[in-house]
Amino acid sequence: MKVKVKFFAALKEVFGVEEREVELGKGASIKDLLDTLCDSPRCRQSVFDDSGKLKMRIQIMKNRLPIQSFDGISTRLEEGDVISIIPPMFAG
Amino acid sequence: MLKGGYWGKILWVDLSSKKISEATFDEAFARKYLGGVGLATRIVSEHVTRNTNPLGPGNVLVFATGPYQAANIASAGRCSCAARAPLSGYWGEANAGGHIGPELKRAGFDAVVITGRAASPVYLWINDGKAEIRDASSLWGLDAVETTAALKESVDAKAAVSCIGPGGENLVRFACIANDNHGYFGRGGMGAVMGSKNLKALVIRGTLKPPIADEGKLREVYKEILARAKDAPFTKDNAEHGQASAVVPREENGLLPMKNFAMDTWTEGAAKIGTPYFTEELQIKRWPCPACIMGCHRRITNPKYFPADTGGPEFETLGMIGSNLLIDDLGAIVRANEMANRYTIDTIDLGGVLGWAFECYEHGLITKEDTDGIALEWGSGDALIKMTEKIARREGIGNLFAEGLRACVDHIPGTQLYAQESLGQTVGAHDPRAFWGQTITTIASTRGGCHLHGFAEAFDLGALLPEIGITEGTDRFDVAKKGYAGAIYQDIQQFWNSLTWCFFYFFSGVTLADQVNMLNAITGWDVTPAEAQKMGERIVCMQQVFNLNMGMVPEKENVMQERFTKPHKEGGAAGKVPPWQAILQEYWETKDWAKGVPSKAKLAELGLDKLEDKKALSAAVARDYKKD
Ligand code: SF4
Repeated sequence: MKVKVKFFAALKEVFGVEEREVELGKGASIKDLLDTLCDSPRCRQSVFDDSGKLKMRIQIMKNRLPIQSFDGISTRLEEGDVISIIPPMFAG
Repeated sequence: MLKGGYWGKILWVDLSSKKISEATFDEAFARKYLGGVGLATRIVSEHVTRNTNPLGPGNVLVFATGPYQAANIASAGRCSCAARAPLSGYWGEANAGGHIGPELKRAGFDAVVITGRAASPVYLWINDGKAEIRDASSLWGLDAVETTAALKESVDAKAAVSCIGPGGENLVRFACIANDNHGYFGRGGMGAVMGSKNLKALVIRGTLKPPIADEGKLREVYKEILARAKDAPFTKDNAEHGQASAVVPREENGLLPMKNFAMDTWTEGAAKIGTPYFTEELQIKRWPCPACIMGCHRRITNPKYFPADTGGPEFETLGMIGSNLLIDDLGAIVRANEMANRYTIDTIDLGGVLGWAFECYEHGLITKEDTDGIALEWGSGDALIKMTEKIARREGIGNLFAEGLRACVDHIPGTQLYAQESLGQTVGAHDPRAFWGQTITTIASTRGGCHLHGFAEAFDLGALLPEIGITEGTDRFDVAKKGYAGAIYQDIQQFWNSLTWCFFYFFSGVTLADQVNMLNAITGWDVTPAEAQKMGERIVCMQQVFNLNMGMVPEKENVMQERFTKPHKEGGAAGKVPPWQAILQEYWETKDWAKGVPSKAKLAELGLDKLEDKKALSAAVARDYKKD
């Protein structure tokens, strides 16, 4: 199945694109998606902490809804889903 | 004896009697109240009573520096300003960038206190240990850009100029003060306090070298911190993209105010006012506060938008007069921001009042008959520009809007839902439903609605304080520790605003331990991070006691705005509402404030036990320093 990923702010530069499509196996989760996306140490460090957990500060939305409303990082993906990944922003 | 960071001198100016004197303070006083907002809190608490009219001669307007202004370090181009707020009637304070802080320090003073009311317009000229009240009749009516230019030309081109335009002169209750047309003491109506005193401007020039306890140590500590901060991803990102880069991501995660916080998403609109469009269209250049290595402030260079002699709109402005009003016309936002800067009115409250007005108009509660024919329709840049003018001039319905949100709701009863305020002051462009860490600053800030008086959104985003035991944040939608973080981040923010220092550096990896190390090198002290937190806690506690003395009832005031008690249906914060009562309870317990009232034990612990009794407080303060 194919899902679309949108990167925001500094993550655009880290991942080198604003958005991209990713091919994943049926039943894949957001964690699987992130593992696929993080194909370099720099990408990985921007999303996961040293113990391999998703950094709390990263905000992820599935089809514009917070993944906390589903199963968090274990949320299952479906064909055509749009995933947004946002780094911390501190403007105020 | 004060070894560094302070002169131990406060310039005291009574505009009624034209008497200029000096007050002095010692090391124990400095270590207790620190400087900046802490020092200002102490002074205002002593001199303002419940009977003091915020716009009367009895109000006390304080501009205060901290120990950092003694040192030439990045982030120290800041200053605090405080008084009883004309907008709320409670504690009023603002912190801003500009030359005023460093120049005041170099002029030989830690703070300047202004009381009374001049018989006719004046400005205050402070220069190397001397001060003079001068006639400003010819400047009255000029906007901030014109005033600054005239004073720089006639007095000293290198002087710092902090002034008001027509908004301050006309006592708009959310008038701000412009610092060199670059930074603004925005919140609480400090510009109206200046206007009420017939004080058009402060012009300050200093060439004295403030004492530093251990210059060598400071340079050693600072060199390492600076190198680290320069290398931090946030520094590079903030320098390159500025605050407007937060608009699009915050529309996505649900933080951005949209249609007076009633709308869920506004994707196309956000793209038209945020970066990269913002940067390209306005041909943006960096415009840092003095000595800043980041420079999140922006200068517009595209001639199409000239004259743009003040800074470009920042995130709060883009949020409050842009997305909050569904205005995606960047040119209209730039124009209104420029007008607000020149007229000196706060863009956050401008957006809050107009959000209320646009919603009233939508529901037929305000009509064209009330507005001199102007349609207050969502998305109308024309209405924004015309209303900015009317508010600053107090023309027509602008006269009502200039009184702030509470007066507006009094005027049209039953419209509280449309007024996103606390203590009468508009909340910032940070929807607390999207980051529950913002709950306390939204409902229980001592200066009223605010996004910064304890920016615990940082706790949700993993900007932590391990030195005082905060080693882990909690998810933005997890209630755990949100009240605790609300309390501690509030303390730390007041510590920062007393140094005074730009809090953006915290996100560039400058830790609380770093700040304390610099403070100790400047002052010769041995402050620990735990003491720094206590210093901040003392300041917040004094502000709370000030508010209680002014008649505030915390249980009545510290209540979540009705709009934020219902969830968004869509968007990045859909379905989420912070359990604010539980968060508030944890906040009060952390503070040891039963229902918002500090316990006797807490007051004693903070050395504020005389605060319960206003008369005793005055007596206690009077002992701390003497006036000539
Ligand atoms: S980061 Fe921005 S607000 Fe802070 S000192 Fe620098 S320019 Fe001023």
